Amino acid sequence: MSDPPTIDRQLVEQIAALAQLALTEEEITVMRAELTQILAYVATLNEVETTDVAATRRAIPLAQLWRDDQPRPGLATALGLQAAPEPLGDAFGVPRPID
Amino acid sequence: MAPAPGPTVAALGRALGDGRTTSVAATRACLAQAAATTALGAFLHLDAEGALAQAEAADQRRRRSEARGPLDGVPLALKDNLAVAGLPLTCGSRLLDGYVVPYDATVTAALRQGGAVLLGKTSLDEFGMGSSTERCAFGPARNPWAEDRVPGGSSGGSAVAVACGAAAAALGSDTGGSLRQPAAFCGLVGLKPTYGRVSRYGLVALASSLDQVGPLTHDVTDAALVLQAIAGFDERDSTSAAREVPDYLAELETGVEGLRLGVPREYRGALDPAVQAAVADALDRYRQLGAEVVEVSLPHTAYAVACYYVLCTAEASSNLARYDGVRYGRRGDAPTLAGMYRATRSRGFGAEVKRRILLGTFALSAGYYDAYYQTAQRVRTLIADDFARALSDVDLLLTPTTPTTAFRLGEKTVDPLAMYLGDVFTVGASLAGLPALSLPWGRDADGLPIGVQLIAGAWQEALLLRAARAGERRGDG
Repeated sequence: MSDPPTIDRQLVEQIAALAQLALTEEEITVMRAELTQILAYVATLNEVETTDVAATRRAIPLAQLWRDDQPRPGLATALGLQAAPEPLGDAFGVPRPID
Repeated sequence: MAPAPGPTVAALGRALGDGRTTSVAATRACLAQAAATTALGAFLHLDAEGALAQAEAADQRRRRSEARGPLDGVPLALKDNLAVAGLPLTCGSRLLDGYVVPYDATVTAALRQGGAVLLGKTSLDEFGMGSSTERCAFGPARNPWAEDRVPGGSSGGSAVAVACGAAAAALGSDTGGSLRQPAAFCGLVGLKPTYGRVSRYGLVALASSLDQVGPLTHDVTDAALVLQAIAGFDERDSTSAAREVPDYLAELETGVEGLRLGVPREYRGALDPAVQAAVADALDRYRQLGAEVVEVSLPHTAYAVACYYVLCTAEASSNLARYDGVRYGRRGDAPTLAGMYRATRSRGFGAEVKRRILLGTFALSAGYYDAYYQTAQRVRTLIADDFARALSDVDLLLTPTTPTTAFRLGEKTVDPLAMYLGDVFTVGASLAGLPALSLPWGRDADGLPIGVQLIAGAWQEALLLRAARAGERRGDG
């Protein structure tokens, strides 16, 4: 890990766009300061020699389990749609995807 | 100062079995206590009508001699990130305000199968992101031992409900300490099982490689009883383990004579003196009980919090991408799909959730992925190796659960990093996937509870519970 990057306004906006978040001016200011502080702390991981260390994605080894590829009942469509903000027949309604 | 706790699960089970009380009476007592303590903010949703109907059904079963086991008729609460069909599931977030979930989590179904009465949903830091339950969008929960203090988090509502007698026990979830830390702050037992021991199906995901469901209870026996009900393989959770579940009560009273307890030397720094004294007292007691206490080393402890917050936020940013306003939850208005996503998420998420999503998105983004996410995964390997090495020499580890007792509301909300650093003693076992339990051990000068943590090797919950039970029997409560 290299030194923590400078968390400028552009980087905060870039990350927010990736995360589908629209931040207010005040949020951008606060997040810049907090991300800078937190990433400076995280940079302590630089001190650890990890060159030949394997990455752990899951600490406890678990066997891969398979089940028969048979259809079985799942959540009924009506139940799946009952909390939808905009149910549209048997589907979820959304605003138009293209400007 | 001290809350008036209700009966334990075991005691209530005996009273129900002897006919000294009924489930309806016990449920009414919990509901009355919940109503009397609403200022503590334990519950986000109480299902009084449903609970009393379940209690009546339990009483009828018992009258027919068809009681289903030790949880039948016992009123329990569930953290509001666990799905209970027909009840709200908010995760403490405005984004999910009003969402009623159409299915049961596997642990919910297991409790129903055991006849438990489900009282309602307890408060939490939004999506489990916090260590104080101050980050709930619907207001903070408060510590029953001192209302100006936090109950811990993120399973704070579950801890409060049990500590003040509004539930006999509760389920919570633990990603980096969210069962153990509130247990320590509220004078309860909190057990995080081995990763894979309990199904995560129906648990709203925070960090999928770390999350586990577990009990918050008055004592160790209750923790064993509740774990027995919820542990086991679930084909709907590919990360649940296809391993036999042992009888957690069978060896509960067999003591610790001959066991080796390891004390990590790296867990001694920056400790409140009262917590330090409690750990010393616990070690003395275990020696008296016949355990051998030895020093061990977990050399990468200093990096556990940084490692945890990179991995947890990375996984959270991915998991929380699903909240887009399409299928459930509160939709933000915008004329285009992309605008609707942003409006939904920007209005729905609170500050801590946004902060963690941004951190996690950063750690996973092009140009930073290797440097942050991959490095943290490698450090995780070293931390897990530390625990494996230590536990090859000893049976259990004993540490403080938290560096301090419960802090004041507002004390750490302005400094997110200070809040994160409070997790220093709990995140290690989480990263290593190991079972860990917080056991109440005395109180500080202000009368606030202290917890000590026991950590065992993978799948060794029976040993963990047995050692905790031995410590619990020391006689000073």
